[in-house]
Order: sequence, then structure tokens, then C-alpha cells
Amino acid sequence: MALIPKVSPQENYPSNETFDRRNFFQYVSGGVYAAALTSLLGRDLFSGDDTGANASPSRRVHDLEPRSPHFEPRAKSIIHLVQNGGPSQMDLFDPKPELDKNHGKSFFEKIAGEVERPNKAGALMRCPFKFAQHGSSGMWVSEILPELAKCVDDITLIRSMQTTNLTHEPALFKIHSGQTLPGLPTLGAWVSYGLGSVNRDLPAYVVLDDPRGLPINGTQNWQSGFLPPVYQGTRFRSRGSPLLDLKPEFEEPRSITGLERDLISRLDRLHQRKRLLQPELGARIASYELAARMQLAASDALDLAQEKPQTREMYGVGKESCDSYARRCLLARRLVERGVRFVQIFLDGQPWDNHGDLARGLKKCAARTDQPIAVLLRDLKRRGLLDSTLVVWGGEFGRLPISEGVNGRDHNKNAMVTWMAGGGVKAGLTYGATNEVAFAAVENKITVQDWHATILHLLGLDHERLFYERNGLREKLTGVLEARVVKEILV
Amino acid sequence: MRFTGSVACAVALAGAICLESLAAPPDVPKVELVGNVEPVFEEHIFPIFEAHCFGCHGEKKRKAGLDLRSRVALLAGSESGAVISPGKPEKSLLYEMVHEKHMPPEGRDPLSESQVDTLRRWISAGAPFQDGAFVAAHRLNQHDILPILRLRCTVCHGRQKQEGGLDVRTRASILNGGESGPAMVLGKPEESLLLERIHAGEMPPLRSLVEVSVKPVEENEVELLAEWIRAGAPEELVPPDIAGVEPDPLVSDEDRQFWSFQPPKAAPVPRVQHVDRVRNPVDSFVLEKLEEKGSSLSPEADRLTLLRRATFDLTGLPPTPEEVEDFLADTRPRAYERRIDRLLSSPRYGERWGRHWLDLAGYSDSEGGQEVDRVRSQAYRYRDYVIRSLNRDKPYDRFLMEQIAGDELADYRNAETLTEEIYDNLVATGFLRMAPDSTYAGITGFVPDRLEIIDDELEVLTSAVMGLTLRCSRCHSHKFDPLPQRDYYRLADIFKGAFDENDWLDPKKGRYLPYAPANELRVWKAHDKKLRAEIEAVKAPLAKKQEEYARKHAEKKPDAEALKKLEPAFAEVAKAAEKKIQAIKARKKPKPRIRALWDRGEPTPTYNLIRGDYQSRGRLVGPGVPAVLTDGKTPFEYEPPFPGATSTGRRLAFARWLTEPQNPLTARVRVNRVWKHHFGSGIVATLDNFGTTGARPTHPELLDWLAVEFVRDGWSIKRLHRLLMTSSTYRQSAEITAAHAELDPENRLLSRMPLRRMEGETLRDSLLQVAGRLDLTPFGPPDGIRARGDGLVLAASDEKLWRRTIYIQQRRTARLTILDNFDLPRMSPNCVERRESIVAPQALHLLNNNRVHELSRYFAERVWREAGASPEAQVERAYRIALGREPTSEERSLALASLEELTRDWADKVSSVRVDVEAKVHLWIREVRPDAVYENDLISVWSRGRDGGRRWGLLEFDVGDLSAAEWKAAHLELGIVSPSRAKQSARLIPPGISGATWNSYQATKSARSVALESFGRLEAEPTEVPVGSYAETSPASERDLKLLADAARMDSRIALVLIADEDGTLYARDWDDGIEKHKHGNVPRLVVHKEMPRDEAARRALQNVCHALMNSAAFLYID
Repeated sequence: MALIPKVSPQENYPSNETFDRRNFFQYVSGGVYAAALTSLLGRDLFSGDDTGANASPSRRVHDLEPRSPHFEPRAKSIIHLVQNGGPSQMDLFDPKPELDKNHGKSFFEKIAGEVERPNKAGALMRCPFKFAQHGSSGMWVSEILPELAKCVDDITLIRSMQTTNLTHEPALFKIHSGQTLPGLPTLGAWVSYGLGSVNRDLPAYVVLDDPRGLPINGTQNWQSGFLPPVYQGTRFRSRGSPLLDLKPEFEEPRSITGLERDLISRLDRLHQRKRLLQPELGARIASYELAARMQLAASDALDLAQEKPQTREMYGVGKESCDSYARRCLLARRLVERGVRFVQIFLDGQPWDNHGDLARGLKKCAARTDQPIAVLLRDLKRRGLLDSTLVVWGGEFGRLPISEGVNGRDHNKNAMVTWMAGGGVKAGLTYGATNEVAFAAVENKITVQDWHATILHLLGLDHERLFYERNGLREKLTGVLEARVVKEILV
Repeated sequence: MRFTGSVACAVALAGAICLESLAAPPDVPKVELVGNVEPVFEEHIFPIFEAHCFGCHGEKKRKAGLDLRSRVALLAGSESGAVISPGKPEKSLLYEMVHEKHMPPEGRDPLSESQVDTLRRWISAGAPFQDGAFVAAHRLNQHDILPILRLRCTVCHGRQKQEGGLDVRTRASILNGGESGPAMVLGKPEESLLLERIHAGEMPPLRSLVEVSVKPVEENEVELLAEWIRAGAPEELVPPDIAGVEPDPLVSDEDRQFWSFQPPKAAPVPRVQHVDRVRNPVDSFVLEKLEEKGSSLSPEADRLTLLRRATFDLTGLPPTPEEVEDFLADTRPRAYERRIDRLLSSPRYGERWGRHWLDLAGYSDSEGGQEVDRVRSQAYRYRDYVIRSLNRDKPYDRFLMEQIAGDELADYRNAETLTEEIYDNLVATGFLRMAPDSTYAGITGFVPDRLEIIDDELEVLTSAVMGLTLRCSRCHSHKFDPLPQRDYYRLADIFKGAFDENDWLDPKKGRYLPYAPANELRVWKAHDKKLRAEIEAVKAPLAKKQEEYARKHAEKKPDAEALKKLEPAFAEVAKAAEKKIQAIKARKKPKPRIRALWDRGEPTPTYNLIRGDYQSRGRLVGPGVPAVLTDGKTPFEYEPPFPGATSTGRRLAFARWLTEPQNPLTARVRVNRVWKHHFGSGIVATLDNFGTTGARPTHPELLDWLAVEFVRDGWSIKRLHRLLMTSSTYRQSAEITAAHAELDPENRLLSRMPLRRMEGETLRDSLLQVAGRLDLTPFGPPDGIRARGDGLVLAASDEKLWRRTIYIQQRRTARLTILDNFDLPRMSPNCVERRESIVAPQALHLLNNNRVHELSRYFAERVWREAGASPEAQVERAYRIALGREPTSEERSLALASLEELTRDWADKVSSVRVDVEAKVHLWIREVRPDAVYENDLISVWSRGRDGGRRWGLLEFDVGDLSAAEWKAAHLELGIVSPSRAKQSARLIPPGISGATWNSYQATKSARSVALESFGRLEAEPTEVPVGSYAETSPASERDLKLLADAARMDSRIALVLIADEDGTLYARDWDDGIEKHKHGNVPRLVVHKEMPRDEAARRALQNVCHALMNSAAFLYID
């Protein structure tokens, strides 16, 4: 029983001969003020002729209308599995025999400037787990990721990523927005700005945050920065009401709600009739209709009861160690199925931040995520969605080869591990390498901006041409930094 | 000067130093001769440069400060420092640029391969000239060395601290040394303590690097240090790059011809045809352009539309019904003008326009950057300063002067009392203290982090006030505007006395001046004293117990920790006492101080940073303003602002220059912004960019006329408002006709007024005012916000009154949801223009949010109170309150019809609500206080005890302590109880909570802990159910349970939240108001009876109509 009447907008609002509301966008694009609106909508994206003597105001009404990419995309959607905290490369994906050999040897002096907590820095520390090669690709994976190990032939493992800051907050800002400062648009915001939403009843950029709590940096991880807030990530919760304000927070019989909505709609049409050529008013009426549709669409997309019990079980729903993550992986699939562009799954706090008792911490994280992620990959593949969906796994930095305290590892910006699957990346590839103790990437280094450029490229967006005019500058995700699309990992 | 080849070349470009040459003998290097002839400059190189380079690096232009024509010029290098490293082509910037084909730039004639090779051979040969001279290699001097020490050492051995008595800021102070003797021995690096300590790995101490935000000394830096000491620590007098008396080679007079770099000149007011529409010169300028197109202004809007427009424009609030009546009653001529004057003198004016200014300043009540998002407890003073200054119509030049250089305006250090003027001056400097700043943590407080913050502050200044995109020049000379890189660093050097990355003030304590108004200090001291006394009072009994123990056991008085171990009873008492003390401490208020920016008198040198990299220092620069805004031949002059001042006076000189009437940008940029807020877009559409990539003014003569007029009128912003708002242009209707759409689709000619949507703040304030819930108390510390577990952020208020949004805390990590939905900008670092979106979450929020709903209830109650029970009168009144006008006849009949239908429907629903209580299931019925759900709540457990008896006990749990197991236990019923006795509303746990989702509520855990504390007072009567009723009923079918939920839902004052039966089976209404069963078992049967007051249905219906009005486009948009 929904609080909002489950009726189509058609029934919900009395018809009015002036507008066919369901086709509002069709109406405006062919309508009398099409020219004005198109010029409002099309301005600050992609168009290269907007500067110089006749630059016009870059103000426009922002929306989520679908927009064409720059070129044929390899992926239509992204699922970003954010491993907040900084997963340890040498304990998960990058085995280092040298660490075993030199366990206990001093190394701190060589890297003193690269240690966040120098007063706790110890000697080189070996990995507490066994590694084995898997799949026909022979990719090395640690024993604590047994399920992912079965999927290695579908992923490209990148061992040579680097970032610029070894503190969580700035490094997270960097991973999400390309810069270490707060207040800037995130990758997902850029993508929804660039491509809009295919499914007009759902947001383009959805965040599935952990019901246990927010990650470090909170909602800033999916902000739109200087891009209009319409492009920021929308939090969908996996339990309770999926979306803030989606349903009334107060009690009211639905017939009453219906009558009131009807009154709003009629008042707005009266108001608009005297201002027929104001494009904003039509868009606003459409937004109220979209709100009504979203109530249904969001509830539907997030209704896991629609999945077969076997499917739910396969993901790990109901399993104590990974229930919540499993739910969200399954939701992510349901969302990309429905055309959502960008889905991010976060963990609460930063579970991968294993400053102490690394082995236990890593096992716990693995248990929370390994099965759901592997099943997500398999499920996407089985449904033919993996080709058009890019799955990205990674945190904000890696960890040091030396111990912190007795058995932990401190942050490391010089080497981090990440992987991608589907959506146009090679399968079974291990790319790049770190030095003998996995302290720093040395071969085929990838910067955060390279990583961003590559992801945008897979979506059909050129990082140089995806810009937003601000302060007279063409702001880009990759900023003024040189960025390279890592072609070697593309199919 | 002979080339000696003795030392390394310091190629600034990559900060790379060719160390290998350090070992080279101090004579002319062996040169490798390729080909037959050793190239010399005049014969072989000059012709190449002449053909390819002089166009940009010669007599007329010296891009990047580089002149390639002579030995002297080559020696001077470029902004990036030396361009030639004799003997080392691979280290020479010049060679790199041509070899890598970066130069000549694309589209120009490139050098041939043999020419590139000739250049290489020439540099390899030591860059000789015909007279046998060479381009001299760079000689190592203090500018190569001291910056290294500033990066690595001066934090402990510098101005703020001199550990071991050592200060390494200058050659002399190094020689002078510290407690262990001189830090260097000239000519003998191996005997120099400085190097010894570094080599030994003792300095900087590796284990405490992060604490002081220092990186270890790099290998090549050690070598440089050694080399410098070996050479006798030579110093050279390097003149900084500042504007001289000679014409500036980088910025030409031609560059200055661009429209916005010329001082504004008032053009004559044009003559127009539609003389009848001309109220003031603004109209003439606008009409001129319209008439060129054969058009004219739109007809005047009706009076009430104008009133609403003007009231929103100046106060950000809708006109009250009284204001409307007043205005309508004033039938004398110039009633509108009088109204404008009244609005301008309203205290609300400063709150409205203060918000616009705070956007530009990037105002925030927190630092950002780090997860803790430290609160800036004193930032509000700056907000208040802005509001007060605008209300007083402080002349804009003075307003800027105070914000940029308030500390240099009056000698605050030696003032006897903190006058209002001095207070304002100092608080005003908060303007350039607003950028996000995480340097309060060692790990995010390194020099490059600091440079980012300085850059942000300069960005605030240049974008908001100067309309320049100077930020581009941080890494390279501006690509489009004549803003060479050195201009960025010259400006940075003006601010160096206040923003010094080498001598940084920690935001935690270093950003404050210890002054505050005396009365505030008095109040604070009294409060603090009271709290200290309270703490003492709590501690006293403990001390007594300690003494008792000592007496009893004839021992020495044990300390508290020891006694805790000895006596469990004492431990308990002590724990309770500690808790109380914590609670008292939580009531502490921050000491009143001023968060400010001030000149500290000893700026370190500023260098061009190549590509913005802090380790790649180019030329030394001195203070200066962008050359394109000057004649290029006038040095920037400054002096200490008052006799004996420690301050450099640089910023004051800058502020004076900025506010000279002849400054081409200051007045134009300001006038343009005011225009934008009245007319929807600026005369220059790019508000922050008046450069070549910015938009050209649509009405250049008008802009200049306004700018000149503004300055002449004493920089009075209020008079500017008055001028603009009393024009016919402003009074036009907002209606778009087909002709408009055709002729002027984007309204660049001002053929009508734009339709505007309220900003988030205006919307929220308007909702509050309409509901009669707006608290107009101005100023002071901001009101708090509260983030709910599900992410909704609301303003916290215990009263049912809320202050204007500008007085709500603005944190970077939590933003009021309503503002977030309605395009509240992220300050990154500031917001020069807000963008507008139209999205579904806006509709969802206004439709579904509880607070908006509650405000509609207040609105309805107000309408009922003021208009009585007649529907006609109610509709009239509601429109008058919300929209400042009467409804149109269509609106009236529509609203009346809806009201009737809604009343009928409500009456129908309401009469069927009944509750039958038939068996032993515990049902809580609460009074719904929708806004208060989750606020100020305490998680506690109502339990009947294991015996299932009738007595209810109250167990308290902190959220984190309550495990899933406890939740599932039989005979437990979870409830949330408001801690405040005044409210006395009991509520049960929100739906959807179970053990698994428990943690999602941890976000507010600390708030709950506080609440828990105060709840202790209720312990006396734990069995009493504060409000609502509780009943028992017998099991029945699940269907009945649903019915009950439905029935309860009908009456918004009743809500069934959680039911527990005898066996401990818990039933909770889930979000979709189905019944979620937590354990199968017997299902109770409940039927609700509820009588409704007679006019209740009509009141409910009126609330719906009010809610609809608050949701309507007519409310949200301003014609």
C-alpha cells in the first residue's frame, strides 16, 4: 500500500488541452519556444564556439535530458565499487616474494617522507596470506578472495596506479573529483552532466551507501561541486524509503493526496497559461510529474522481492557476513538494467584502512564483499549486460610494505591497485607493475587523471571536450593535468 | 662577466639541478665540437633567433619576460629563470623548448633540424660570443638555498620557534648558529653542523615530520647546500621583478586598449523616441538598443506585481498583507518610490544582499577538507559585519578597503579600546579567510596545501571584485588575457605579509586576534566562571570521599584513579560525576575573538613558480598589481600604514589602488553584479570575467554610465538600487510576447523583465514567513543544524520558530536539504553565480517533507485565525499572505472547489476512524509532532520486565550499546522518547529499524548521548507514559492489523508505530505502511475509534490548500 496513489500521471492529473504532459520534452523541442529552450540547454557543454567577443551568458536551466556522447561508447553504465580506506595491494593482488625474503628489515629511512605516521613505522612486513594463479590468464589473487579468483578472466587488473596524497580526505577527493580539494564535481557528476539520464524516471547517478554509515568525507564523495546540484549523486537506501522525501513523511489518506496534487497541477497550469512562453514553467510542471513517476520507478527498481529467491541467495542476501553488500550489488544490477548511468557502492567509514591487525581486517572486508562482487560480475555477464557495463573496483590509495605498529600497514600514495571489468576493457589482463616490494608503481604508471580519462573514454566522452565554463575557464574533470587514455587495457 | 663553469646550472624548469657538474673543475668546460665550426652567438645564433623568435622575444614583445637579443638579456633569462645552462643543452630550457617543438608555437615557422643542432652545439660550447665572452652560468646564491631551508627547517628554526636557539632564515643567522655553535663554517661543508645533522638523518627528525608538515631534505638539496657553503655562502643582490619606470615589455599599450582595461567614461545619455517611457537615464540607454530593433519597453507591470518583485529583490521575503494594504492605500504620486525607500531601509535588506556577498566571499562556518570539518565558531562575525555594512550603506570603496586591508586602516595594536570602527576593520578581513582550509591537520598542511589555500583566497578576490581570471596565471602566463605569470605572483607578494606559505598560521589558533567587544567578553567570562563553579561543585564530593578514605584507612589521600580501583562504589560515583562534568563542559562557549587576516610584517620572498610547482622557483618577484590595469611604468608603492607599524602596508596600498575612481574594473564589476540581481543577467553576462574570453557588455555605454555614476554618488549601493529600481526598465511586465521570442529570445535587450525563481534561502524564508514562523532575530552565532540518520538535514529549533536561513550554520559537510535541492552552491572556493536546476527532488521535498507540511499547517491555522471559517475569506487571505495579491477569479473558484471537495473527503475518512481494544497487545498511540521525529530523541527501551507484569520500566541504552539480540528479546518494546519534559511526546522507534540497520543511526549518536544525559531527570516516574495512550488488545488477523494501521494513518495525530504481543512478537509498520512481522505468532486485533472535532475536516482541507499554494509555481516564481 503506497502512500502515493499508484496511478499513472494521466489519471492523476486532469487533462488539459494545452499540453500533452507526458510528452513535455517532445512538446518543447518541437514547440513554439523550441529555439529559446534549445539554446538554453545546449550552451555550455561541448560547444566550442561560445567564447570570444560574443560569448553569451552560460546560464541555462539544467536537467537530465539524455545527451549524445562524443563518440561511440563502449559502456553505457558504470558500477563503481568504492573500496574506501585503501586496500592493500601486496596482500590482495600483487604478491612480492621480496617481502618474504626481507621481512623484518628496515626500510623506513628510505621512505620517511612518504609515511603518514612515522612514529609508528616499522620494518618490511610480508603478506600474511597465500597467493595463487587463477583462470586461463593466470592472474595472481590472494587466498582471501576465492570468489573473485574465479572471475579473473573477466577483469583487467591494474597494479600501477598512483595518486598524489596519502591522507584519506584529500585522496578521496582526488579519486572522485581529480583534485585534492573539497567542493569539486565528482566523476559521477561529470558523467551525468555529460550524458544525462536514459531513464527519465530515475536519477542518472545513484549512490548506494552503506546502511551502517557514511564513508569518510560523507556526502562530499558524490557532490556536484560547481556543477549544478542536479548532477550530484542521489542516495538510494537499500532499506526503508529508498530516496529522501520520496514518500510523504506524514500521514494522509491517498485520496486526499490525490486531490491536493490535482489542485497544484491546475493552479500551475493556470499560472502558466498567462506565461506561455516561459520555458521554465513547463519544465517545472514536468518535474512534478517526474516526481510522481519516480516514486513508482524508484520503489520498483529497489524492490528485491521481485528477484528469484535463488538469485538473492546467490548474491549472499541473508548471509550475515555480506547481506548488505549483496543487496546493494543486486540493486546495482537492477539499476543499470534500467538505464542508470553511474552507480556507486560505498562501505561505511573505511574498512580497508588496516592500520593494525591487517590480516583480520582484510579478511573481514573480503568476507563482506567477495561473493557479492563475483556474483555481480557473473550475473551481469549471464544477462549480457557486462559488455555495456563497466565495473570498477578500487580505493583511494594503497599501503606501505613496512609495518605500522605490530601488524598493520600505513597509507601509500605511490602504488595502488584497482581493477575494471566489462564495458570495453580487456579480459584477463594484468597491467603495470610495482617495484620489488610494491612500494611504488614503476611500470606503465597510471595517474588518477589517466584513470578518469579512460573511464570517460569508455563512456564515449573525451576528457578534453567534456568541460564546464566557470570563471572564464573551461573546467574539466582532469583539470589542467595531462591525462592519457590507457589504450593498452581497452579491447 | 667570464663564464667560469664553476657551479651547477639551476634550470628552474623542472627544478632539476645538474649535480654531476658539481665536481667539474672551475674552469672553462671541455666543449665537444660537432662539425667544423664552433658556433658563436652573433654569427650563428642571432640569425636563427631573428628569423624565428624575435617576434615574441625581441624588441617589441618579451613574452614570458624573455628577450633573446643580447648577452645581457639572455643572462636575465625568463620568468622561469635561466634559459641557458652553458655546456648543458639538455638542461637548458631554451634548447628543450625548440627541441621538443614547443617553440616556436604552433602555426609559426619552426626551426630546421640543423638549426636546432647548431643551437645545441652553441650551448655545449658554453654559449660563446664573438668577443670571447660566454653566457655566464648561474651562480649559486641565497635564493637557491634559503627556500630549501624554509621548506625543511624554519618551522622549528625560524620565526615562530628557534629550537636549540637556532634560526636558519638568513645567512647571518645560520652563521650565528644556536646552542651548539655556528651552523655552518664557510668553505667547509664537511665541518658545518647544518649538514652534519642532515647527513646523520637527525634533521629534520624523520619520526616527527608530519607533525610539522615537513618533508625530508632531498639528495640534490643537500648537495646544493654543501656547494653553497663550500663557495662561502655567497649572497647576491637580486632585484625582484616589479613594475619599473620603463615600459613593460610583457604588457603593451595595445593590450590596454581592450574595453574593460580602460577606465569607464560616462557617455552622453542617448536621445530616444519613446520619451514617455524614460524615467531616468537607464531607460534611455535601454530604449536606444530596443528602438534600433524597432521595439520598445514592455508595458508596466501592475502595482502588486511590482511590490512583490521589489520586496523580494530587496528583502528576500514576500510582502506581508499589511505591506500590501499600506501600498494600495497610498494613492499619492510616487508611492512606488517611497516603497523602494522603505524597503531599502528595512533591516531585512542587509540579510538579502549580504547573502549575495557571502556567495562571493565563499562564506562557510566550517573549515572543510578533513572529515571532522572543524567549525569556525567565530566566522559569523564576518557575516554580521557584511549585513550591517550593507544596511548602513557603507560606501563600496570603504567596504572593500576594510575587507582587504582592515588591519592596516587603524593601529589596532596600540588602540586603548576596541572601538566599533576597529572591530569592524578587523572582522572585515574575514573576507579572505573563507576558503576551505584543512591545514589544521599536519598531514594536510604542507607547503603545497597552503599554496592551494592562498590561491583560493586570491581567486575569491580576483573573481569577485576584479572580474579577472588571474588564477590561470598561477601556472603559466594567461592564454587569452594580458596577465603574465609574474602578475599572479606579484599579487601574491602583496598578500605575503598575511599569507606566507613559509610561515603559516595554524587555523586552530593562528587565525584569531584576541579582541572582542567588552560586553561579550563579560558575558562569556561570567558564563565560564559559572561552569567552572559547577564543575567544582561536582568534584567536591569526590574529593571529600577521597579524604574520608584516607581518614578511614589512615593513609595518604589516594588519587581518584587509585580509589576507583579500591572502592567500586566510588568508581560508580566518579563515573557519574565525570559524565556530569562532560555535560557541563559541553555547555562551554567558545571565547569571543576575531577571526581575521593581518599583516605580520616579515614576508618571505616570492618567486614565480614554474607550472605552479612549489619546488620549481623562477624569478624573484616583488609586490605589484596586474600591469594591464596600470600604465605599466608606475612602480607599486607602499609604506607601513602608521608610524612604528610592523605591517608592510602592501594590502592597504593595493586596496587604495583598487578603489581609485579610475580603476577600470572595480566599479564596473560591482555595478554589473547589482544589475544582475535585479535584471536576471549582467550587462556583462560573465560576472567574474571581464577579460577577452568573457562576454562583451550588451549595453557598454550604460555600464560605463552606471559605473561613473556609482563612483560619483559616493559608491552608494543603495542609491544604485534606487536608480535601477525606479526605472521604467525595471517596472516592465515579465510577460513574453511572440514578438519578444522572435526579436529578443534571451532578453539581452531587456525587452521585458525576466521571470525568476526564488533561491533556496528565499524559498525557505518565505515558507517560514507565510506560516508565521519566521524569527527575525538578527546576528550572532548561527543556529544549529541536525542531520537525520537518513541524510535529511534540518535547521534545529526547540521553539516552533526558525531564524532566517542566513543565520543557520553553514557547514561544508552538512547542508540544509531544502537548500541542497534548490541549488545551494558549493563554495569552491566561492560562488560567483548561482545556477538553477529544475528537478524532481525539489518537487518531492516540497510535497513530502514533514517540515514543509508542518509549515502548511501553521499557515492554515493562521489563515483560519485571520479569516475565520468562511471558505471565501480563507482563500482570499491565503492568497494575500502567500502571494501578496488576491486570487484571480479562476484561482478563486478552483481553490474553493478543491476546499469543498477536500473537506468532504476528510469528513468521510475521519468519521470511520475507530479503535477497539480487545486484547493484550501493547499499542502506543502518540501525538504526532512530525518535525520532531528523530530530533532530540533518545533511544530507550520500554520493557514490561521478564515476568510479563503490568509494570513498565524504562531501560536506557546508548544507540551503540543496543545489540540486535536485545532488540529481539521478548517483552521489549522499543521507543523513542523526547528528553524534554515540555514536549512530553512519546514515540516509538521509527519504522524500518531492526538490528541490521541499526548503525545507520549512528550518525546522530553523539546527539543522542547528550539527550540521554538530560533524560536522567525523568527517572522518578519511569512508568508514566508521557503522552498518548496505551492499550492492550487480543490477537486477531493480520488483515485487521493493516486496517488498524490505515485507520491510524487517517488521523495525523495518531500513529501506530510498533506493536508487541504477549509472546514478544514484534510488529512494526514498515515504510510502505504494510505490517512487517518480526516473528510469526498470534496476531492481535485492533480497531481504532476516534472522534473528530466538528470543523476538523475543514481545517485539514484548508491545510491541503495552503500546502498546495506553497507548492505552486505562482509562489516559487517572481514575475
